Amino acid sequence: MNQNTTLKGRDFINLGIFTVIFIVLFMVCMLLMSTTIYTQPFGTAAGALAAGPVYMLLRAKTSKPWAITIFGVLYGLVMFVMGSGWPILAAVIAGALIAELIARSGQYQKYGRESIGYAILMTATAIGSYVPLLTMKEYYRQLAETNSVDNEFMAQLVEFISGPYLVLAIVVTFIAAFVGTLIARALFKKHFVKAGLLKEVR
Amino acid sequence: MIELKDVSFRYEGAKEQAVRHVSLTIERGECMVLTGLSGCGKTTITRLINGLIPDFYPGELSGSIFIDGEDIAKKQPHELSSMVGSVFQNPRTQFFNTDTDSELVFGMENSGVAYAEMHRRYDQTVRELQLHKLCGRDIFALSGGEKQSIAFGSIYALSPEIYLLDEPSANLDRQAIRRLRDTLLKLKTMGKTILISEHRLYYLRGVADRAALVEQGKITEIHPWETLEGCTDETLHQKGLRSIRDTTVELSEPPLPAQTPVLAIRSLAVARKKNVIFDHVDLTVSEGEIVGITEPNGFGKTTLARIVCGLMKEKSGSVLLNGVPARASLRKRSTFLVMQDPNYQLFSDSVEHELKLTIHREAPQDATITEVLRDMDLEEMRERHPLSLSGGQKQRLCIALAALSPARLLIFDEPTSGLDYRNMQRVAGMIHKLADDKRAVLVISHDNEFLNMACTRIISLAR
Amino acid sequence: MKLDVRCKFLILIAISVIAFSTKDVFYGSLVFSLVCLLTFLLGQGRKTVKYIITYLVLVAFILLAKHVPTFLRGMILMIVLCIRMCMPIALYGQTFMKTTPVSEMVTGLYALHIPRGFVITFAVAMRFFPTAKEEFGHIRDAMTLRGINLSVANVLRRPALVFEGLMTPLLVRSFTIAEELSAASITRGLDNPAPRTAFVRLHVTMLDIAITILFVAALFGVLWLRENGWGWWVD
Repeated sequence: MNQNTTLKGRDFINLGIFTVIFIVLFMVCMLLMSTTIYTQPFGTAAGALAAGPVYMLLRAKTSKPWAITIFGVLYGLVMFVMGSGWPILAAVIAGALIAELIARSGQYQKYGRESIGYAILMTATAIGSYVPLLTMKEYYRQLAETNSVDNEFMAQLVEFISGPYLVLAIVVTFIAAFVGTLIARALFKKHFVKAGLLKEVR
Repeated sequence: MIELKDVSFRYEGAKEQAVRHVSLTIERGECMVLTGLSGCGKTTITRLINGLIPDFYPGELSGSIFIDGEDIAKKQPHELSSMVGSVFQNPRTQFFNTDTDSELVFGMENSGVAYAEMHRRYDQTVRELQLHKLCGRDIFALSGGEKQSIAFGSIYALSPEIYLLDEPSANLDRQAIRRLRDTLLKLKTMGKTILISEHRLYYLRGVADRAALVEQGKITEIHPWETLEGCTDETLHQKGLRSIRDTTVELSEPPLPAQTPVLAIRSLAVARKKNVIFDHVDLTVSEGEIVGITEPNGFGKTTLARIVCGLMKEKSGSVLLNGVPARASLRKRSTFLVMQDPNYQLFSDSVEHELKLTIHREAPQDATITEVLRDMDLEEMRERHPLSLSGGQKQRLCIALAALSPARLLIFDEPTSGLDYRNMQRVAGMIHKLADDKRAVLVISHDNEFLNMACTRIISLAR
Repeated sequence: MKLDVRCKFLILIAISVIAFSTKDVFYGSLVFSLVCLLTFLLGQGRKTVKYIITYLVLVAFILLAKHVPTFLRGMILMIVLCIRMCMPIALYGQTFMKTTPVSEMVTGLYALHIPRGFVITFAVAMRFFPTAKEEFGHIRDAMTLRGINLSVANVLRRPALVFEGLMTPLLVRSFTIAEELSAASITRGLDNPAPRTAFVRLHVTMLDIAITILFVAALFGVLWLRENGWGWWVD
């Protein structure tokens, strides 16, 4: 196979390093957003926005087949091990495969396709992390009962959050991820290309 | 052992060739030093020999390179790894594992050394390089010098015939440099071939057999080491080289301050998680003074800098600025620190914007900026991206930031790591200028040659 | 006590599955206790005690939450739940890292027939977590020195500058570290296609198998009890 299409040690090192930064930034955003129940559904959106440049830099450094898939599997596994459950693992891997296909259609050279792939991957993450939230509905009710919380209020809150709010959160995630890649593009042009670290932003 | 025949190389995307028509022969068992100004191409020569060029750093390569009579043009870096061992500049970024044992055997595992043989060589490496104390440790908890020893061990275990070292002393303190020297002497007695690219020359006395001067991608002079011994420091300095003799520093007591000192530290103690880093530290720096802090090793000098700048809080004792006790929050605003690695301190997209980036005060006038840039010899760089500058230029840009800041107390943490003689001299000159401008300067360094050049007074914090 | 690295991986997966399914205080605590027992046996007594104390404080929070207004209560319970759910995994994960050298982990992953690309990426990720912490510390220092500290006021007043001031050095430094680490690894044969050999020889003892089976069975037992409503003393 051609040298430029096979992943090598250097690519794996880039994958390892940037995946870690991505996960750390993403987790911090999720954690900050989950301090209130109203902002919690927007955790993935905030993470997708802030970590966008990290992902896009990783893509610029490893624009070869299978890099997105490896990233997805590793990222999904970490989320899974952190206690987010299997839905997120499945969703992230599925999202990564779709992103891989989209990127492949542009020979891994088109910034626009990479952006859309990223937005889809993040949307998948959002879906994967909110499925458990739906099952938590039952847990909240239980909690309300055993802790003699104002039942009415809690029920309303749970209904609101699990309904239209979630759909909104998922849409916002898609947009935020896309905006994240735009910010990344601006950041690359302003710093990386000018400093000679990246050749050009396609 | 190593033979370069008319080798030229241009990095992909670069306008000029990094090395031009280099021919060089190094005999088996010989130790050769490549020296010259930063960016002269000496690092590129090491990359030609370990095969990172053209595989890892692509570009245009011509000429041929032989190792042990064999042309390495068609060899991959991993095929060379059993013949050529490479030690790099930064000990923090050259280990792959998190524990020392895994790191020592990393190369052997990759090249498929059999189990029994691997254990034999591991034991041998630990014994011969005296690494017993470092076995089974967390690499992140080691000092820079200890990390370097592990990096050496990892290569030693592969028993290559050739050792390539790229500025190995750049991030080491004096004690670690002594250890490095001992290791090199050991390799020499074993008959290994050694090629070192380096600015600091003093520790190579009695180790190196020959020295080559690299200028603008060409090897311009090659001398046996004895010839260098015959040169005066002035002759070496004229070529941009550092002294080949070790320099000592003379410690002096503080003079009785004529006026209130800018910085006064009284019986300062610092602890991190109950571990006392240091205690009973007293120190004064007056206006116009440049105080250098040297030995002891492992004292926590960077911690001292962080305390003075208010990035960290003291456990007990007091820090006075202009005679007034200053808390961490005040110290943050009234001091300026030039960090060891200037890469962290640069945020903007051009040199000019970098100097105009201010938060708590008005941005400096264009005229002021022009003046400072002229002082720092950076006029041409005004529009350049700070991160595209060379190491020395970045260092100077950080000094320009210090010059423009209203702080009266300026602190420099290891300002010469990786700088050649010319840049070192420039930095020293600029620090003098800052002190003349009614400021107090604190320099933290274990580079004696630099301390002597830059400081008005040198102290040791050993009790 | 020592445990084979492959058994450790298996247990990690089991804990991830179970901790996620047992959110309620009672069964969650049961799972946590089991994990504590295991980490204690693996020789991480001090860490285990620290975790137990934190856990008890969290449970105290849940009890205290009864006495605060409804709105705040939801918030507190949510945060406590998040932390509490992560604790068994975090404790086990840290124990795993502390008791297993990277080369052994890598050997274990190869023994489990994980593709090379994943193994290298995983090993680098393990190594980079502490580095990321160090790097972040340096960047925060540098930002503070320039007045762009990561304070709430700065984040609200000049978010773009703070974001740029954090991201640019972080990405540029990581970029450089990736290059330097790659060069150092490649010159030590990282790209060598020859089969890798191992410094540590793995061998699973009967004791390893017994402990793993016992532990995983106990975890699933908790899940089974929860599903079948055996919590008669909780009501």
